[in-house]
Amino acid sequence: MLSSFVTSHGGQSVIFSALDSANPAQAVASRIQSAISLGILADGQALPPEPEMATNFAITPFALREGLKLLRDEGLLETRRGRNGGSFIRLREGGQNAAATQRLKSLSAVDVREIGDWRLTLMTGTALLAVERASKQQISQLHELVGRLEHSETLQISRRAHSRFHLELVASSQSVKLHLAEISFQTDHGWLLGSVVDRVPYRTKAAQNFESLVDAIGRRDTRAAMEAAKNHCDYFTRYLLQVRLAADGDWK
Amino acid sequence: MQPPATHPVDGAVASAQRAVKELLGEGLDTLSTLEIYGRLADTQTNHKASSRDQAIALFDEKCAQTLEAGSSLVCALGYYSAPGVDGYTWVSAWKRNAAGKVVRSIFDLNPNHDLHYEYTEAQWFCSVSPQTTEAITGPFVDSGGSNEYRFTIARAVTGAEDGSLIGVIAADMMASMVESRLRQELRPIDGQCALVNSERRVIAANTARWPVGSLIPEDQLVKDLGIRSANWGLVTAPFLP
Repeated sequence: MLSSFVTSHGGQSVIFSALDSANPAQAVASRIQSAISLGILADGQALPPEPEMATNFAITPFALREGLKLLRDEGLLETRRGRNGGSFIRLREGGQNAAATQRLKSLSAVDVREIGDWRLTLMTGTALLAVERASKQQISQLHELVGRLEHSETLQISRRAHSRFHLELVASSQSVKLHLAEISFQTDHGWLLGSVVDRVPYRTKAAQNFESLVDAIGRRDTRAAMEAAKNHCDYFTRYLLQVRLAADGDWK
Repeated sequence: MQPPATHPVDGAVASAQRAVKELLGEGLDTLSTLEIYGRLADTQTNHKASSRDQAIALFDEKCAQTLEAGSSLVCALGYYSAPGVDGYTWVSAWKRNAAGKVVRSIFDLNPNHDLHYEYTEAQWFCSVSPQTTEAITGPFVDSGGSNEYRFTIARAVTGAEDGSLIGVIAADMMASMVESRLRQELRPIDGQCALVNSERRVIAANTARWPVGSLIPEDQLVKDLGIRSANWGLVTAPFLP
């Protein structure tokens, strides 16, 4: 069963694909935590054998073990020895959020700003194209997703609505390249997105920002759409920076 | 520079029109042969698991064969069941891989995954119903599915007893292949001409003015040639020097 782990589940082929990072251990931990956050890896699920993972991530076995150690330290992974041994996902109540907060603490303010900058580049570029290319049907679908985000009853529904909103926005731009960039943004930073979408103030503000963006797209108003996308990304980056400072216990 | 007209204008339009019909026909042919096997397999879902699996395996075989033997324009073909009363759903989807071999398409259909393929919400799946049995969607980014720029021709499969929607058979065509075939047909038409879908989204054009996938803005005046195949139509603009 383990040998078919990667190929038998569509979603996992993206997760276990080559990493491109100066800090591979950190990247392994982020990727696996994103997979947990996106629901692709569930509690108790076994990770593929280490040699297989190292090959798929295109990193050394040493870097892989370092990455798995980070996850173990955060309490998200359990390693058992013996015949039925291996690494298993371990989720406790609130454990995911605690781990995300801990991971966020380990990022520098520069790392956080880089993530925000990339989100800004993707989202404004997408918005620019969507103003010209989104069909009426896509615009109403986007409105519907904003509504879902605003009135979501469970964390899973709000996370999914948030993720789907970004994907639908990219689809309305008609660009496959932007679409693939958005998917890799979500698989790389899903852990982070999940942890902010879980917070009501972020979710409420994001829904407002998305609503003004979709309104602008509906009016075919390029300037207003760019402004709405920029406002949202500025808010997103500042929110992350705040959560990160708060985790240190000294934010102002 | 306008390409020289090789046909009289009306002849060029009529010939482009024939090419569009022919192209759509190639997609539709693959769907009609599969309908019976899709219905057979889907009605078996109420019965024993073994007879259901047998009927689905038969569909798998017929679907792969049809794709193999059919038009090279069709790059993927499959059956996507509508959620049944018992919640059971099945998908049998096949594609031509990079080497031209027919293989099964693998999607993430696990509803617990945030990025899973929610095909019942896709525009192509919703484009058909017991009332509208055939429709073409696209070009669109097939988000969550192939993640490519495609068209989907869909055909509703309805239950033999109550006529309700039990599934959709879908044939995909790459937007790039459709464009390169139709562009040749639009060349001889006088002036700037585009083939657009009902959203006025460009499918192919004989001018750089309208890139594929862009919408012709509502305030841009174009002449609708009044020619329709499915929901596609030809529009022209006067030649601007």
